[in-house]
Amino acid sequence: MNLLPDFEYRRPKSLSGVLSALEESQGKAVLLAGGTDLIPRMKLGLEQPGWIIDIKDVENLRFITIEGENLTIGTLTSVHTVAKNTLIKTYFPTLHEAAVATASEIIQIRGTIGGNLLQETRCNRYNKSETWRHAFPPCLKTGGKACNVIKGARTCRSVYCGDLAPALLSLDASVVVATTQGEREIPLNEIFTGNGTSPFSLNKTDLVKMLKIPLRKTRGRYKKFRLRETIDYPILGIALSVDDAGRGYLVLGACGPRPLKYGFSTPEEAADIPRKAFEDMKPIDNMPLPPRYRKHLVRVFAERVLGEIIF
Amino acid sequence: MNMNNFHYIRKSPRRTDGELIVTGRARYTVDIDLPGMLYAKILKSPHAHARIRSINTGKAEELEGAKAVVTGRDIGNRRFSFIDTPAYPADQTPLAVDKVRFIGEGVAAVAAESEKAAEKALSLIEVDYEELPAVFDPEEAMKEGAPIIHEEITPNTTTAWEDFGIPRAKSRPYKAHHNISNRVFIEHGDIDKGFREADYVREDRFVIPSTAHAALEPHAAVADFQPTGKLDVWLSHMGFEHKRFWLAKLLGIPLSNVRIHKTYVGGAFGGKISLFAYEFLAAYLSMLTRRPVKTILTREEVFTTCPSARRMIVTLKTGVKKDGKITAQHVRIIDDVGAYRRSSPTALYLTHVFRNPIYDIPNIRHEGYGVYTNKIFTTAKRGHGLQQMIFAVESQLDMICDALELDRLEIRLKNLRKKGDVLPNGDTLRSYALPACLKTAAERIDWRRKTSHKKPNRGLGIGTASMFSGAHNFPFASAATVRLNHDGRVILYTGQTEFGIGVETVMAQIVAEVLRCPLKDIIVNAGDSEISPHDIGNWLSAGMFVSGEAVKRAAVDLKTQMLRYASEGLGIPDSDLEFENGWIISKSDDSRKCSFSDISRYGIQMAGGDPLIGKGFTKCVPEVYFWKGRYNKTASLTSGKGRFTEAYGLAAAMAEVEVDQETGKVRVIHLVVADDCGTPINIKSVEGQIVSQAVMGIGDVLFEEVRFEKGAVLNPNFLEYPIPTASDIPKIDSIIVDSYEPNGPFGAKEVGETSRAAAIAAVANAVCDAVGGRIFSLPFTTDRIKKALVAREKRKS
Repeated sequence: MNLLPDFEYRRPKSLSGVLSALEESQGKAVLLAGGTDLIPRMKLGLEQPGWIIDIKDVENLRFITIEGENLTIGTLTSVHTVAKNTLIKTYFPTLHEAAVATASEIIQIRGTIGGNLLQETRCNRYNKSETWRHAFPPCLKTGGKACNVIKGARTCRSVYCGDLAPALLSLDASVVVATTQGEREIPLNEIFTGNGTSPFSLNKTDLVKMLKIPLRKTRGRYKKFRLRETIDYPILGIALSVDDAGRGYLVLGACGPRPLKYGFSTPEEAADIPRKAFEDMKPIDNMPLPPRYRKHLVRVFAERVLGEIIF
Repeated sequence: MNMNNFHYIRKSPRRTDGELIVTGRARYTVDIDLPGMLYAKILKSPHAHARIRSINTGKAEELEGAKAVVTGRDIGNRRFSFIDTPAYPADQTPLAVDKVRFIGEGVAAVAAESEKAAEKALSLIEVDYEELPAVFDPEEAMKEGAPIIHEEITPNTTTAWEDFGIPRAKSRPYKAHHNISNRVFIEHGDIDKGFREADYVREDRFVIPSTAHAALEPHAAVADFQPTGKLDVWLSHMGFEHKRFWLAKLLGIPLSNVRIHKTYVGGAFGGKISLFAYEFLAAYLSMLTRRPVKTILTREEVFTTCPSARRMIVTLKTGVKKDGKITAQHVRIIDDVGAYRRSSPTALYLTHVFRNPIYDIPNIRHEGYGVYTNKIFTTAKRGHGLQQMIFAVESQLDMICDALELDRLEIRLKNLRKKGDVLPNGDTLRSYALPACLKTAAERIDWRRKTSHKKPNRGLGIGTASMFSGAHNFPFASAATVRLNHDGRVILYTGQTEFGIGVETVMAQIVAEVLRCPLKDIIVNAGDSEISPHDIGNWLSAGMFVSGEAVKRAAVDLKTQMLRYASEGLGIPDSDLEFENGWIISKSDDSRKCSFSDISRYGIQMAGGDPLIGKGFTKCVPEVYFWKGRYNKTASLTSGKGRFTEAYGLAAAMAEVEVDQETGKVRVIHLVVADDCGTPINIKSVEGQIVSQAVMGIGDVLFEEVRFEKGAVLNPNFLEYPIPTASDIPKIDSIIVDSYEPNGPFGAKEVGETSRAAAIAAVANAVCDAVGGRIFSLPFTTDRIKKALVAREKRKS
């Protein structure tokens, strides 16, 4: 049995309670919602927070509502609720498909949209127990000086494996972050740093409160390549959303430390994306299948998804 | 025998223990909690090859809650193995003594008041290692100048084979040259002549990686050493005899002082036969502390410290006539055994003898080498060595068909052996329905139409397999007893172990069939080493054929005794009596009858208090014996001489797949497995065996490989080690081809292990058919398939 380390546990009922607990912890706290990413990480010794602030009981963070020009989704909304929501299915088929393709139904029920979005990047040398990692020197992501996958690498290329983020990015979503200083809205694209050691630009005292998606009808698809038909993280995820005017985004997931987003407003521009995406993707040997093959998949799936939705 | 006249077999009654299991009431080892119990944890080596300079346990010993800390030097050179013979003496110790040979090898162990304290204590142990050069590739390990993994091994006790009384020379030291841990050389016919007669000869090399057993229950042990010198243990295992033998031998206590209690086991698949170091350590720590000790492995520990299946490189040279008749086959196998030899001598012999009954190959040479490397050692898994060989042989047969433009079904039918054939070692194929298996499977999948009208991106493939029904290994026999109770119900005592196979239900069915009494009147007491008579265990597919026959004979013995008392008690000649639905009734006057309970009463009141106990027993291979210098037909693992088994199970599989030509992704559309298992005692159980093994075979081909990075297991969990999920399982047809095995209980024999190997070959061949090119290494990951697709396009242009 992998035992959890000792920690201070708080379970506030309000948003302000969460924010003051975050401040009180002085950067030692992590937020717990569904726990599907955090608990395994803690069991592996990858995360040893002094504090856990459990936000499951916080009121008014579970909703899918229309607010003005946007659809807003509360951070504690389960992935399963997103998958079952008919408005989302009608307006944002890409998000619907990404939610359905996330992990398995049981994990969808447990996992939240906020937690799914902020899941840590992964690497097959990193997501291992402490004992396992003792056989190798510490890597860039565990505070070491060298990468255990690529000799001489200066930055960590652990992979962001979220399924929802590519879909949300293709819909031009933004996040609303609550802090003790008030709320601020950030384009979703900006929360990713592109650096595997610390993949998110948010502060330790920030709480993603909700997601905002511009409310307009889109067509789209989320294509997920994985080893098995369920449970698995994506080997590659591709999200495509297009509005009635033919403008849209194609987004790659599981391609590196952050999703890659490509906008287009004409079919010609869209047609050039597979080539660009293929060039931009620089996979390394830190996932189940070899990098060259994963790079090959980018072109195949980008062309397929464009073919199915646009051409 | 009238096959339709059965009352309790050839049926699918509900499992007698089904409710117990699904309601969570079945007791597994992890459920055992004893008063005052300590928890054990093992410190593992982070190095693949290193000398242990020193271990400082001082701080760990001082930790509050830590009750015992032991190192390899404390325990000493107590060697154990699955195979421990004079030629191949055991090479492993429960904890590394002087050096570690793989990442994950135990160097120290702790028993503490809680798991947390045990983990803390481990972190306080300081080990000073001197790293040594390591070798991970078996072919590299065989080269001159490769790091030497084992120094000379000098046995310090008699070997297990000497203890069992197997007639062989006295044990001698083993010196591994070029890291070769063991060899096999089997030859029949004239290989050179066979190749000279061939019109076409080809040689290919196949690589089969290790796959995990993926038993849902993590490995666990509870040991409770009593002040009386008695050791009570609860284990996750597949038969108590080997575990008990080795625990007693290593602990230096009498065999009868060790009691393996009955537990339910959450899956085994060949992986839980041999003793594990953690099992010994739990017992050893219990002896030291005089308190019960429990240890539960994490999933990662199961992957990194318990062996997975054998890694083999199979080089196959085959000669055929123009019409496809095989004239010669030369097999060379390298078995990458890892740090310790374990059952490699068995596996290398089994790679030949398991598949021997399939094709009639007149000239054959089979050579194999076990090679030490600095990786976790390996073991049996569902057809120990069979699936590796079958993948190679069946892949190559398809390549031969391509080259000679022969039909893939015909070449197989042409080369099959026949019912009644006597194999070179003397085994007789008394039942042999492999031709019927192939034909039935072909009809079901519509082979002829589909292969002549091939759809784009689709492919079809065939696989065959055969397997022992038990072999003559310790304890060489099974026995059972049945006892009539006051209320007329019958208690069966058998050493069979329930690990998901439904063995208690099928054994009860056998007793019910003999005694013609309701199934609910049979109480099964299974898998307790102190209560059960000796038993061969549930591996090498011996359970039904050997132990089932012993159970049947025990029931027949009881029936004979009951009939005599019924005849005396009723005053009716026994020829006029019959057993029916729990009664013994006069055939000529059905008003004259007595119940089973009446017979129990008669035994006590009128026959001197006779408790009515039936006894049955059977040897695995009756012809084989050894007794004080006299012996007959003992099998040799290194030369393949001697008798192996009494009956072979057989199977044929056919698969249809679709391959995405751009990504290499495979969709298995339909898998048909026809299994010649003799009489199916429980039809649902047999179908369960076939389907589960077909699923395992799909995993073998498409997903599964225990991967290594510098000796460390790279995917030691179920996220990174993918087994098929319900969503990946296609339509599977299981067809029972009942051949009636004359020596088995009611005609039953092996089932299951063949289905896996046949399914592997069928799916692999179907993928290659769809790809239009050959893939020589398992698993067929999408990138490997894509590579084969690209190669095909290059060939075309």
